[in-house]
Amino acid sequence: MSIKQPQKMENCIGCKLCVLACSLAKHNTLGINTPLRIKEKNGQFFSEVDLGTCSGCGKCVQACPRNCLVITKDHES
Amino acid sequence: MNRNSHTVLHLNLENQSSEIKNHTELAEFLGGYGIGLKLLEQNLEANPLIFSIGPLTAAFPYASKTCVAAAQEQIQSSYVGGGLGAALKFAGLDALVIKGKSLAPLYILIKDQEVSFHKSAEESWKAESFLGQVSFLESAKEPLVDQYFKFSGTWLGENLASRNLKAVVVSGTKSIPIENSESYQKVFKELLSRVAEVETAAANNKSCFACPLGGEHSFEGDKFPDRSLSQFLVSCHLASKIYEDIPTVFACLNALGYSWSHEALEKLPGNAIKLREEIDNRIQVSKRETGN
Repeated sequence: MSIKQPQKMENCIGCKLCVLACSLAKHNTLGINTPLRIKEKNGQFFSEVDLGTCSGCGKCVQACPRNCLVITKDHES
Repeated sequence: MNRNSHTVLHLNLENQSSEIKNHTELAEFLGGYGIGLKLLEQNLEANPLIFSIGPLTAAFPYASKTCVAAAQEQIQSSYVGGGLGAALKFAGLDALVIKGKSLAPLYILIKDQEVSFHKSAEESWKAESFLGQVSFLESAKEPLVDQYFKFSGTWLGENLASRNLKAVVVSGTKSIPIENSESYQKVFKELLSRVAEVETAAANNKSCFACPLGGEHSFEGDKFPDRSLSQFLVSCHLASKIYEDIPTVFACLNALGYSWSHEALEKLPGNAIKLREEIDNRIQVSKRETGN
């Protein structure tokens, strides 16, 4: 499994709690070098996911206070 | 990451030079306003502009503000939200000390600990900013961070304008180790569960780093009373019920590997007030000497 776009990013407030959760789950450190990235363009936040390194653990989905992220089975190979 | 040493990036706009220095003497001032004051004192004659973050920045909710301080006619300090504090933290920096004035408008790009100075072509730095996970401070009458978060007061806009400094763009890719992972996760969850104690309702505004609220007042610059512990952390003034509680702060610091005692935390605001009075006295003496 992996998180996969399109996400429900219209509710994203850019807190990046998802990125922190991803960093903790993946590296047990705090940082932004994670499979999940939250970026902003023209005042809108959007997510980018490196499907090659995302393990689909779902910690980001649990961490999001606005239920923006969706986990799917589409990435299973 | 050394908890007993602060990494400070010193920038000189006049000759466009930069230097990273490790400061062990800042440890007793913890972070934010405390280290900002100490750096002001050390560089007072050079009329510096100081940006500083705290030990909890990017690690705990409601604690990722940035303190900005200067001392020209008097000591000024202001606090701002957004992603600037977290970007500095992930760049491995605890503070910026900016000195001098540029002859031509310029912006500073900080990528981890590499610095470049650029002629101010507004669109070029904005384009670069939006492409990655960066934070930026934009000079204006009322300067903004990440095009949304405001500083309290107008002194910073005047200070940046006097230096010809148009923008500071920061991105950081370093990882911060956690000393005690189990207690960190426990304290983190506990703080998130105390969201009702933060004095703003959840809304759909842009949020500061690691704040789930996006509250109505998320863009406002903070002001703290003199004896506030929050200004050293640099946490949100709306979360003072959480971060003025010494046992809570102690637990946060302990989880990250800082060895602060309750007693030392209690003394911190008093020590900073003493330091501020010393700086104020030097400013007054200097004014008398120059006849201003």
